[in-house]
Amino acid sequence: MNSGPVPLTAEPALPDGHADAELLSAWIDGELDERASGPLVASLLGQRDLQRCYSGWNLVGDALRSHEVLAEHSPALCARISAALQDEPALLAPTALAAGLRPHLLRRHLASGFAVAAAAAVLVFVAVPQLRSAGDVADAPSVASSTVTDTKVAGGTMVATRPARNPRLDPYIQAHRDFMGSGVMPAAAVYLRSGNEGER
Amino acid sequence: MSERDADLELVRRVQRGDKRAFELLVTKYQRRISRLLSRMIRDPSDIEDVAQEAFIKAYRALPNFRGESAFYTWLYRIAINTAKNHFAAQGRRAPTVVANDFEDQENGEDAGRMSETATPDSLYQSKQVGLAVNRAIDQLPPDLRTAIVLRELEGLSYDEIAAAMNCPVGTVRSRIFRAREAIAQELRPLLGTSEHERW
Repeated sequence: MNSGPVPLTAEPALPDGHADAELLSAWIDGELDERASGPLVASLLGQRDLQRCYSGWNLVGDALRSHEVLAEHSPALCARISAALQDEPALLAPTALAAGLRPHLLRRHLASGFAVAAAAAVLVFVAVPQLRSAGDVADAPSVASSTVTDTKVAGGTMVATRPARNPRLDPYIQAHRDFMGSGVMPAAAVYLRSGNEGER
Repeated sequence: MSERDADLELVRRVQRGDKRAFELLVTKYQRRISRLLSRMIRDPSDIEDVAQEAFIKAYRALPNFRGESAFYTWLYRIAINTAKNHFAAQGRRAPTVVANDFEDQENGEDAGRMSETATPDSLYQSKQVGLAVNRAIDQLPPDLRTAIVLRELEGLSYDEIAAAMNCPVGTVRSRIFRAREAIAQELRPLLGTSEHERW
């Protein structure tokens, strides 16, 4: 047993990455910034020096908290479990990962999810009907001039049917479109047509 | 982040297929699980077997761990159930003291009872480790000693320690790190580990 004083004046034996070791100490206490946690754990998994520190410092904590820490503990236990783990398949659990998100991360994911859902809702319930109505407006000259909008009452609910088109009027409608240039400004065609009709 | 988050970081890595991360969790909790089981099981070889079985069961069940409780709480419950199954397989009932012990463990408290399962050798070594830790603590400069005691025994956060010691949080972090390394240096020859060996 080493009964000499703890070498406090001399630099203790540290792994090459002294800074990493201090970060590891903070991480063990749950005091490391989240952004630094991932890279540190990656280093921990790959560096034996850091693993030695991790193991030793956990022993120090256990020894400080309990005088019986080693009395019932087999030094071979860790090696036994490591050997047994070799026979176990690697895990892949994406669902548990998602469910295991921390609350603030969960809120962030929920917020972004709601934002996407809200945008989709706006698109479906506002933008699409407007685009459709714009398309209907584009078709409005032909509808207004050549067809009758039909409605049915089915079970007390008003159901609008698509307007029927009289095929005999198609040549006239096409000529009218060519004249009005509806391909460029379809939504304005109805107003232009109305103006022309008013001049007649 | 908290200590619980640090465990979750390792759990996530295990769930993504990294077994090495689970070995770090074993390294951290092996002694606490052994101590818990020693209050239920008398035979030291059975303690080791049940501890191993509990850790492997935990590994297999980890895909279902959602982080709703702390990892160690979840692990302890698995260990207790594994011990109960051990008793059931032997046609015996688990001792009723288990529940109280579990509460002690969850609160991070030492029940102050030495197990009947410990052998004279293990008791001797445990006592030597305790003496070495106390000696190392006594030899630490007051600032380092205060910082490590407030952290490990009182469970204070770095912010709380900084406020108590009237110093920056970075200084607290450095003091705790240096204290740990000094104590570990004192324990290393006692445990027969070189600087290049795992504990």
